[in-house]
Amino acid sequence: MKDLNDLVERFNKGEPSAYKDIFDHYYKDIMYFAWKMLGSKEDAEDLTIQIFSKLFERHTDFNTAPNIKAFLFITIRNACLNFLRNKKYETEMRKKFAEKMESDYRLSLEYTVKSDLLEAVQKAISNLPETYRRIFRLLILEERKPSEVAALLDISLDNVYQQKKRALQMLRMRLDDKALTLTMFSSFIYSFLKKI
Amino acid sequence: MEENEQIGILIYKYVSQEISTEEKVVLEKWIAESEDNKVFFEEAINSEDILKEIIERHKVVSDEDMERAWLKMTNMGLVPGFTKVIKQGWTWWRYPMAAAVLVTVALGSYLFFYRSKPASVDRSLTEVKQADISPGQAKAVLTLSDGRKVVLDSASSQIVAVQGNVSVKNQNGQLVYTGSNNGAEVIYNTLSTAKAQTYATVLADGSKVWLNSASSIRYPVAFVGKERFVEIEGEAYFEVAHNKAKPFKILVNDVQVEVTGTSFNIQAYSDESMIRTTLLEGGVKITSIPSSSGSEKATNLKPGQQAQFRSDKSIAVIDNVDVEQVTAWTSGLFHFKNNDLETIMRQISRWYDVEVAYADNIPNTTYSGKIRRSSNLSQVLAVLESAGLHFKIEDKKVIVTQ
Repeated sequence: MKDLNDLVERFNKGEPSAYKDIFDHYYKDIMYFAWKMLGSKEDAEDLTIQIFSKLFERHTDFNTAPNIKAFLFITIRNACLNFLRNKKYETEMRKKFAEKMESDYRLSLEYTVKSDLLEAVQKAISNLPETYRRIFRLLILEERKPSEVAALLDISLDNVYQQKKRALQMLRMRLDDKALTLTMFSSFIYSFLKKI
Repeated sequence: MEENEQIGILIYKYVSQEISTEEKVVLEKWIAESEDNKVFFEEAINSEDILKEIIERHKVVSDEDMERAWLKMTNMGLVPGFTKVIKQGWTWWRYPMAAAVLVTVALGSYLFFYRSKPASVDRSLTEVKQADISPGQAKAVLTLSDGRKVVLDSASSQIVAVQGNVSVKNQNGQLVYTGSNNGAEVIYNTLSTAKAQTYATVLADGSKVWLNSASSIRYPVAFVGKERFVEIEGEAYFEVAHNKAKPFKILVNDVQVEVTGTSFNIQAYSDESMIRTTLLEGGVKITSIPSSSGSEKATNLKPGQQAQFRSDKSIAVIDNVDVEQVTAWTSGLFHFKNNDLETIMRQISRWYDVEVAYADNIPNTTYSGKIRRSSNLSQVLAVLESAGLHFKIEDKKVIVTQ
């Protein structure tokens, strides 16, 4: 995307505001990945910060967004494995994930294919008007019960279902809009919407 | 890396059932290559898993977590070019909550400095060929009940006034009213934006209002009395807090909108041919106040409908309106959908504070598209130029030519 390329260029040149923008773009993905490996938010955050610090130091080395992403994921993966060598795995699940991620190939599939998918869905949601974004956040992201949401927003239960229906309709409409660059993933997201 | 992209594309095609037989063979071959591949494929196409990851990620990392991590990084000196500055001799604010305010101001300006410049603005600074025009900003003027005017912007975060028992705080581009003045007389404030400005406010009852450019809203500081009554000009998006006991009424020109529910957009610019009220959620009742003789006309709207009041006092109700398009401005976008050139240029004129002149006859074409409102004027015009139009910028005037 054009904006991302601009950002990478500014980052490469070392423009002050680019650091925060890069941070905002990648932080959540990296932090979430580290958490999947370690199971601890505090440790994941500490390691993630270290990795971004390394990235910032080497900003002149990076010319493209895929390069930055690859660097971030590979170094956080290595940092996490290093960290785990001195500690026990938090759970069996974390152990399994960490072992999977030891494979460079498997790691790269994770941060290309899977990551792009997550980003596309997130973007579609974030561009909804506030009212619909809110119902989506409460019902689906925060997994609240519809009765809870009704009480929270002081509306009827029926209204909650109606709002949900309209939010999904709007998401679908957006995906139909060919002007958006989300069309590549739109069919996938369509089937994903059916599960909600 | 390229092979992964290839496989990724094939997986998507598979899921959207757009995969050709040859491509399917390639994909199946890749899946059969290793257990890893097979497992990955099964995970990738399982949209339930993707949904679970989205939910989990949302729970694990919030925006606050991210901001906190950023502050940690800067405090530890890990961000190049960013030195922690400890100012000496702060100016003490005149308000009672001095200490708390100081901290918020410091944080506010931190965040402001690093978030304020979108990519597009930086770009224009390095490519100076012709003076470019910046987009609108979060700025407004608040007129208090005693006539005093306060200039607001998103740079500061502080209490700007106290009206009775209600505190008025300016916070990150939002004006927030907290408190109540039970039993007292109603006092009004007015929030206004000029061209190239936008602002938002949270009223004392929790209702939120977003103001577009060249707009204003006059509202009670605290809602005492049986109704919640406000007046607007220009364009505003409302999310009204529920209170069945106190209906929320909006007066715009000679139209009254009574709200029984939540979210809607009202557009009432004097240079537009009609007042448009679009309902997203809840219910509104629209009444046109008769001038002298003539009866009142009332219409109830359902979500997804738009009421159009024309200058001849007729009302039309349109169904299945694209509410996303109508409220795109609240998401920082221009969203044009089969709009004629003049409508588009009026929006541009308000957001960039420019005059528009037409050198030739206006073409009969309509245009559709989305452009970020954070773009500079030249970037917006460049997008329109790709649709076959030509522009010249002279000072604060845009001339449209064929």
